[in-house]
Amino acid sequence: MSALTLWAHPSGALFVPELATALIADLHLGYAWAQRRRGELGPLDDGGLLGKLRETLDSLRPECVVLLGDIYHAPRPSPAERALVEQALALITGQLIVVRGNHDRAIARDFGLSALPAWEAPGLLAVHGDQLPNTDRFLIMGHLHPVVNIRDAAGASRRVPVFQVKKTVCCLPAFSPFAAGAAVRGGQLYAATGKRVVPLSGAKPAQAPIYSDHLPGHPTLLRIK
Amino acid sequence: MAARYGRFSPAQRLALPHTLRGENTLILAPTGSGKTLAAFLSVLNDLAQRPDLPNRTLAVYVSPLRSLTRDIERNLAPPMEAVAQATGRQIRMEVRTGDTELSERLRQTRRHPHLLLTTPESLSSLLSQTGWRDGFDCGTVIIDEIHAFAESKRGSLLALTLERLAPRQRIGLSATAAPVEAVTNLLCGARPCAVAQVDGRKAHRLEIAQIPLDVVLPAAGFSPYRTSHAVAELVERAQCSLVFTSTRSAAEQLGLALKVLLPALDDQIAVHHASVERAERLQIEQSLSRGTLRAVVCSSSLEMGVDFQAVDQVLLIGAPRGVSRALQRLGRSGHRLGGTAVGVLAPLSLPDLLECIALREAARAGRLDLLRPPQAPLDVLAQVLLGMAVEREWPIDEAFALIRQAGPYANLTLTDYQSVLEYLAGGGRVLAGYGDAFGKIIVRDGRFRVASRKVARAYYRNIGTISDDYQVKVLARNRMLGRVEESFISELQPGEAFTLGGQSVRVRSLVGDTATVEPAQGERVKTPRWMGGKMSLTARLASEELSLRRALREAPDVAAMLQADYQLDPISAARAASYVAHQRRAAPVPANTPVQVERIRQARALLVIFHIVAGRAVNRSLAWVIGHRLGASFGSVVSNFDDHGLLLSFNAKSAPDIERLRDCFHPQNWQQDLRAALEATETLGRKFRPIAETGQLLERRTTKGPAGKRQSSWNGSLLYQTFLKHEPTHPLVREAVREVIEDELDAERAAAESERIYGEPWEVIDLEKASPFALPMFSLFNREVLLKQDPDKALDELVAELYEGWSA
Repeated sequence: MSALTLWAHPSGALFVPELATALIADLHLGYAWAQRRRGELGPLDDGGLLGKLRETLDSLRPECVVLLGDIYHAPRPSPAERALVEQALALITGQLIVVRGNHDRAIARDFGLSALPAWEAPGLLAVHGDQLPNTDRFLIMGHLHPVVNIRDAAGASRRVPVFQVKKTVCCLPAFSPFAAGAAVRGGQLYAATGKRVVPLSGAKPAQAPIYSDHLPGHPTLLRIK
Repeated sequence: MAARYGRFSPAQRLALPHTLRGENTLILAPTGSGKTLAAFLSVLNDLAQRPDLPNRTLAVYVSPLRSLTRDIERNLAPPMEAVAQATGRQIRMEVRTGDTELSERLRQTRRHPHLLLTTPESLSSLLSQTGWRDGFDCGTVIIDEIHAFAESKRGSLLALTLERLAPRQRIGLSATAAPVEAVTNLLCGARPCAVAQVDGRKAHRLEIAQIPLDVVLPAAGFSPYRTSHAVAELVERAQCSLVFTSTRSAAEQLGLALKVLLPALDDQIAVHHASVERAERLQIEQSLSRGTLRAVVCSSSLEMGVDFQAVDQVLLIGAPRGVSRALQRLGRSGHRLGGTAVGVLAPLSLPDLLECIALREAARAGRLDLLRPPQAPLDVLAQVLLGMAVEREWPIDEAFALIRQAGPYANLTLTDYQSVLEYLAGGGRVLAGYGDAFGKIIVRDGRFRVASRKVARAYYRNIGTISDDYQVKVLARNRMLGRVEESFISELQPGEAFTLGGQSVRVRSLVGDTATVEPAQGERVKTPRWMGGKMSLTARLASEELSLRRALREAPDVAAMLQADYQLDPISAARAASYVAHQRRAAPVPANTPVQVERIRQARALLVIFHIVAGRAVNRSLAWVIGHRLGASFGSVVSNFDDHGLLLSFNAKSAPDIERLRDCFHPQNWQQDLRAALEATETLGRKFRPIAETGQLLERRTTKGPAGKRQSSWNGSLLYQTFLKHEPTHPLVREAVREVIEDELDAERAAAESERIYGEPWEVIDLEKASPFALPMFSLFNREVLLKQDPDKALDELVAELYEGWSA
């Protein structure tokens, strides 16, 4: 069995070139509408999510897209939320694999889509991450929305979504701009700024010589044997 | 009745002619002057003279504190009894606050109390409730401690609530305040209002405590712990001391230290602040009234309220940052008529010492801070309009006329009013093209009403203008100890101990919003932090301090001058003099003219320090405009500001020169630039959650309670950013800008200060390390990011830094 490579995309998507497969976690589509239904009269806006998804797919041209849970934010979507989800799914031209999340458990009822508990590839297991399976394979997950606070020379700090890579697990940043993040520590961290992926502390140059020939600017996170 | 209660006090003699005639009256007098009775006499008089007492609420007493309502209930019982005996008529008097039990609430709904003792929030809620809305026929309303409402949004809520209540007479009870119009406007709006003012100055004996003399001056001052020996001595000499600190964590530290230093008094020393559990607080307050405690250390929680007869000494730890605040706190001792208040100002640092000297001068002369009431806050308006919609259907015009009668809303524009209605109805421009509005109100045919009962229930849960931080409950042996901020507790390492309510504890488990703790002994103990502790120096005190600094700058013999002109004791005078001498070795004593600027190289950064004695609000505004005017060309601009100056930190490789900085103070377009600067900062984003909560956009409390909510709700900053992009004229966005510019920044004074600095000569001094007078500006407390560089650029720098030397 040949080795698999994990590439980090600036959008927060993860790409496996050998399988031409993109993994995207935590879209939380319809967030603003769902909050309105609960009585929070915030602005109705998707935060540019559909555009970001389109650009990501254009850049990666995957044959298969794995949506790693929490595709939409709240069950029983209103017409506007439904429209957003349908538009997003329509952007995906290749094979679509839906992994069940905690927000979209009712995806079969709401959209007639069948969701898998996990996506599997040789040596790999990808789940949403709200429940962790017992496995000896390398685990890919979302759910946590990992971010780090970085500080620049003058001392300004900001939150940046990151890929967090540890020995046995890789956690993807949330694709949604509205997802509140959990500040993480430990492992190797790769910041996804939207424009680029930047390895941060913990990711030593030796382990991340990084820029691949095929997709300039997309660091290889790991090779799974 | 006068016969029974002896002779009238001066306050009563001044007030009664007005109150008994049914006139709106503001009574300004110190606590203990009998003003409360003066107000209630006209209420009792009215109730006693009525032909009958219907099942209606005929008079309302509103206080800022629940504890005050309970106290008034106790104190009024005897005179009520007297009325009952004289007239054979039983007046029903009841307390209604957030603490009132459900069974009592139901009883009150059936049989309305004739005299209702309540808070603005509870009154606001009652006015909307079925069973209550027709139960009011209010003759007189009494607002206690009304000065405490004057500068807050609670005051705006109160003023609007009074309009809905529509009493025939309004009586306000206030400590001495300036300008008086700020208080009468809150009480009555444009209606006529009599003012009964008693000389507010109590006989003060105001001392300045001697702080320990240390060679090294910590930038942010000594921790209160360091002064605990001096405080312990002061506690020992008095029967009962009330000790005020500037923050809750300082109260915790000092309380713990006093218990250690005075083991014999261990169980007579208590810590009291808003995060201590309510039952515990009540017990402390009762012990304080009975005089069984020697000392209570508190933050601002005992600043107002019930009289503590036993307190014979008030200690203010750290400079209190405002003359009125200091006088309010000092007034908490010796509550007898004409009693002498003994107050001690205990400075925590040498800069504090100077502030205390200036403050004592102002207090002696009775020069008060000027009140700055918020103007027509739109978040409170949204909340009240929703409450009115819950009450009944309102014609839009009628509601507008009612609201404009409230003092703070006299200048509300129709456009602003309509934009709030539009927001509550589900949105304006942002909604174009979307069908799912989920509005809270329905506007139709020139009238508005609430959209659903679900919305009404959410409204009741979220009345009020005070946002809590996200806090974790702390339980010890199934007893609630208090609350701490979640961020603090989640940062604790396993086994690490912290103090709460003066006890040290260690976390055993943390599940959801509840931490279970056990007693800890002998470990290194951390003190919890709570947000928003530090207050800002008032304009009045800043100008007092400036004149002191001018005197210090010129004086040939500082110690002698301070003793002669400021009646300072020789030891404190010597300390202040040595502080000034240290300063003079590095640079002159900064006193605004000439503008003193220090430059210091520190690691990767260049620090530029401006000494500007103008108060924090002004310095913060200046810092923002500077950041904005420098623009993106200098990378991120970070500032620390303080009451006495501001510090800018630049990346040393790209720092601007002095002439470039001077341009940043140019008076042209100053206010516009301040507004523009605001949008680039995080401050508005952080401000936005409380405003969105008051404006009923986000829920402060849900059916599940406050905890666990934040995770599943809009992040305040993101919400603000999204609004800014799609609907920058949203009323809550404009409220965020207004609140920061008007209430926090004092833009007008800052603009004048900027012009002064631009026109004056500058004295630029390059130093190895900051001069002693600049040290407090290094405190991380006030750090603020003025302008951020592009995130990708910041990452580039960071990565270059990381990989430097690795030559990958």
